[in-house]
Amino acid sequence: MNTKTIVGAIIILVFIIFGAYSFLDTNVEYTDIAGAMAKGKKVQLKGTWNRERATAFNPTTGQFSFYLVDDNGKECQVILEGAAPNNFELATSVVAKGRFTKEGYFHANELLTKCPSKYEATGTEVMKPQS
Amino acid sequence: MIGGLLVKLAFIACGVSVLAYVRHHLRGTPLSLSVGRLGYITTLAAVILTAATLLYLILTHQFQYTYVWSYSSRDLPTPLLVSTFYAGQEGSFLLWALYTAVIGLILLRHAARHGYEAQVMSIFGGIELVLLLMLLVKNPFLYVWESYPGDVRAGFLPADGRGLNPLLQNYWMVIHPQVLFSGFAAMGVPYAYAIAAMLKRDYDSWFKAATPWLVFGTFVLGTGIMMGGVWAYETLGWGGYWGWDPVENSSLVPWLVGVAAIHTTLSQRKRGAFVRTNLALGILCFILVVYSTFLTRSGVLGDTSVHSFVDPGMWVYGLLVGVLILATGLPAFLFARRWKEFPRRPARHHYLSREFALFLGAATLVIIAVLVIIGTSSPLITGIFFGNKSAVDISYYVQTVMPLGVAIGLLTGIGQLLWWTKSNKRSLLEALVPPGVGGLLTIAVAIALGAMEPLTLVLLGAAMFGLVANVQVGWRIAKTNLRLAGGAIAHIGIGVMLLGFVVSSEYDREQTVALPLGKSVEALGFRMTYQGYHEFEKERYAFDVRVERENSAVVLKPVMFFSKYNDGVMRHPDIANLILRDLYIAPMSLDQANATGQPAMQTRDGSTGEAKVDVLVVEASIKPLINLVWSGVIILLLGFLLTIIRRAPEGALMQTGPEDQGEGEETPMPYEKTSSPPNQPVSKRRRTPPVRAAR
Repeated sequence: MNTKTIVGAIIILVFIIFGAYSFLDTNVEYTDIAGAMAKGKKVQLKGTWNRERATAFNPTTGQFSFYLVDDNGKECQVILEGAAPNNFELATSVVAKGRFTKEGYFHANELLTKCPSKYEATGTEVMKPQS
Repeated sequence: MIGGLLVKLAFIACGVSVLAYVRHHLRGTPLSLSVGRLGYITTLAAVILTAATLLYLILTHQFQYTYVWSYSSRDLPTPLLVSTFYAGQEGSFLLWALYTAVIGLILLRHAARHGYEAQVMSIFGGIELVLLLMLLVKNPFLYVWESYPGDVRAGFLPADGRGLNPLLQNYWMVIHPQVLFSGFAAMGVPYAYAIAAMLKRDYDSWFKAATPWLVFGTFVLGTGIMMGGVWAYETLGWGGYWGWDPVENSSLVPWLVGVAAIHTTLSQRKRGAFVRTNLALGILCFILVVYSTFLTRSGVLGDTSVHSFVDPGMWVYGLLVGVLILATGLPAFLFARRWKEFPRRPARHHYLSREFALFLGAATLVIIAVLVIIGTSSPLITGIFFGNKSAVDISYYVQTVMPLGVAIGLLTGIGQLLWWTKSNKRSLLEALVPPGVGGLLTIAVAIALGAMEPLTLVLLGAAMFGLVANVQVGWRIAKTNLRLAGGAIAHIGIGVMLLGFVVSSEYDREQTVALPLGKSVEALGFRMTYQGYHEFEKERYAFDVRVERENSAVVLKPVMFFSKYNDGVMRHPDIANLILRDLYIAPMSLDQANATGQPAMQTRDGSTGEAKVDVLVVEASIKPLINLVWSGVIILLLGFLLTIIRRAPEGALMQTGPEDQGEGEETPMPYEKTSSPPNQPVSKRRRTPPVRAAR
């Protein structure tokens, strides 16, 4: 073993530890409302938006708010920093990245939308007369 | 109908060609070589005809074909209509197969000259075969009634197509995928050569034939990545040029490994070292292309990415897994078999040698690639180990890659100032003065301008260090022979780009601004006035925002419209390029304020109460020195181009053995005055390859 090998091994080891730490640290878990409340840290909250309740954009704060229903049927308010993403109206389900605040709403920095048939269509659509 | 037959023909011809080439490799019969060639030419002809057929169906609006119906419509202008060719999975595989087939024809002649035809074409033909197999599974020539049996009656001709996703309706769509897929196709060449080298037990000259292709592939892939960045920045409104999205990462990773391979093959060229590393990296470039394709197209990323394809079904998933195992397994098996016979040349590198710096640089690039691929694969990894798919946050990439960026900046500088074998400490220290001063001055200026973050400062200093060192070296070389300056120029590009990355992302300022119609609002040092909207295309609206500062004024026209295709609002930003910075205006919504001027909470169902004034809400941001990013990338690509021009003639003819064992350096060191350092052979300005001299 010469010094170069040892130095190299140490550098690689440091990077493995550093990489693994960063990986686990920044990995944001998927969860439901109960889980997000219990964790208290940054999570990805998955659910659908409640079309019955109003969504609102506040131009002064630049925040967008809507109500999210998770897979267990539980509901909470989500306040997003920024406007609703392009495909929001169409989204069958949404994923909000953020954390619960003391005020009881979910404060999201990012909102991902999952759209049905993003690249695929259905047969009934083919038969639909085109405008 | 005809298209499907052509795909089958191409597949059979390609299979015959591969089998014949394999037979020629094993037995050496001349007949099988002819069959192999004929099979390949037939494949190429059939693939070209397949592509022509699909293009014809698209241009003539044959909506009875599912693929044509799914991605095009009558109202698209011709360039976009052409681009619908590769808007879906099937077409993009066909595009990839087309480029691979065309490159294969050039490769066939190239490999034949090097006595590598049977081996290289077995592997490269194998790649084409797999792409054609994908097309057999994902057939772009299905009729709508075949795709949706039961729902659509046979013979039905839809009046119009579903149209192209408005997000893709952009001139970048016309060129970006083309460039990216030709890069993917070109990356198959070093892979084929590396495996062929192991088959032929030729470990010391294969990379000379493969280098021009490697540099070309990296160049094209780099161009494609940059185009994607510009597209994201100026049209998609991501607010930046890079979002660490899986689709972006998946082209970045093979590029990084390709760049690492360029560095280590240089070392083998000079000193005969890194035999195993070069074989491994040459193979890895393409395996990573395959792995990336698997990640973004198999649906494994699931919900965690908005940009990857949806689940394509079990068939494609199984096929992709199979391809990945085959593409990795075959070279891995050969590598293990040949392990003992690889020539080992104990690296004699000293800490202060260019060889060692090159090694460190390549290692850094590979580490970055590994970190990025692990981050991108996070949903897969967490899915297996924790049973719950989750993605890493963007901060993962920033915090892991930034310290390595410092290493890249420093190494691009130090590496260029070092001699191949060992450098004289004193002269090296002298040469390090200007870059060192440049780096420290940059840090000082940044602190004076209010920058505090230590890592950011170090990265800025390192980038400037590399930049100055390479300007120094590049200037010297360019004076004698510009053709040899490719490396220095590429490294200057890296320095400029790093500076641009740091400044534009760390010091951007962002503000959400509400602009009532006709009323001026001060934000970010500009006076902004919303002047109303107009329809610039059918049902597409531009929102005029007048931006003033001192004596100059400009009207920016960000775009918002409702897209029936996406059933949602599409938004495109507009940008004022002010040389030292960009003012970036991304529209968010058009709301209404009541009489008191207090913005009302607008509900989605449109009941805004007593609406009075339109209020345009935008996200305004200042991106300082973003032009450095673009110019850095362009300088980098220019450097690549010069290197291709330099290496192409060498790759066209074969030389054997490490060419200049012990040769000092063909480019003068910046600190080299009249005499060379002790124990260094006098540098040769002009090198004539032995083979060429003999011609």
